Amino acid sequence: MNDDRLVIAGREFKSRLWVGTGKYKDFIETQKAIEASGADVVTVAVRRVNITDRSKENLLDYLDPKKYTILPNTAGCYTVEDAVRYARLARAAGVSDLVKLEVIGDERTLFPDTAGLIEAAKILIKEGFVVLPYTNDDPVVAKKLVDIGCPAVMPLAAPIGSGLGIRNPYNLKIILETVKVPIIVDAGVGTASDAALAMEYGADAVLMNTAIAGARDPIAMAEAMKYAVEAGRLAFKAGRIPRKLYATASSPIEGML
Amino acid sequence: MRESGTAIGMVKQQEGQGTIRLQVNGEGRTASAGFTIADLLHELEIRPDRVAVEVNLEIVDQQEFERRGLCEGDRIEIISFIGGGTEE
Repeated sequence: MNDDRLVIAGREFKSRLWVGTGKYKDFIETQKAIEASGADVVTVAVRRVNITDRSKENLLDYLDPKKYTILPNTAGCYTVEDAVRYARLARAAGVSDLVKLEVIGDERTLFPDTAGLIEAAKILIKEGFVVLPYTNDDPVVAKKLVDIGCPAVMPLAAPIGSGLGIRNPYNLKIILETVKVPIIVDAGVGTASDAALAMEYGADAVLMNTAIAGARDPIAMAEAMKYAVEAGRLAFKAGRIPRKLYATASSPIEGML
Repeated sequence: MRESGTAIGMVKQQEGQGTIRLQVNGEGRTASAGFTIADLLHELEIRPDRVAVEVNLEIVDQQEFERRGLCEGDRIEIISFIGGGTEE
């Protein structure tokens, strides 16, 4: 699979599995799970430094920025202003000008506010950010995001942390057909088959966090996801057979007694 | 929100008189007048290369940390990266 690299805005990525860093028991488990996943892009949240507990270790002590592409996100931002502010802070902290842009529109579903997302993306693109937007499985919004300069689009499979898998496969297929930038299915994956399916449909990558971190054995699930994404990608490239209602024998009739 | 937190910074007294009050990540603190962002981070044992600092909603470049002095009433945010995938 070495000749099958994912390229976004001139950056090459080996793995098509991207992972989040939240909800792990501790940094050791985070590190081991990410190692097992084979991911080279890891997403991180932007938050206040804890100044009262100085003994607290830093996540980046466990994730070497030379080894991983650190993808800051604007998780928790409900307004354009907040998302832009968090993105600027993330860039100022010096890891990169990449941002996984989230503008959340609803607390219960955590669905994106796509109008706010487009507005925030425009501002950040003008400032030179590489904006990877977390969006709905809406082909029209996906196209708008590409039109304003997003080099990839990250539609959800299902609500964040829901583990429901791909809820709207037909919309996802339309996005994959109509949008000519890499599509990273982000959020809602529950288990390995969900990830494999996204890749079989033709997604360029899958990003997940809870499906791994929330599994009974996160490190084993990280490995399962690695194989699922690889298998799904290979199957997509190999080209599946058409579905038929009736049987077609795979053994020849000739030579039978 | 505490009104006065830990007194920080006994160095750089020569650059100013007395102390100033700051808001650091939402907490009230005092510091010596003439304190810079770099001094503040040093005092808090925070590595400057992994954080972003906002003073009164304006981001200060990491290269400016040594030069940027702090003033009475400044609201300072020090941020870094934590574990998170999407909205937690």
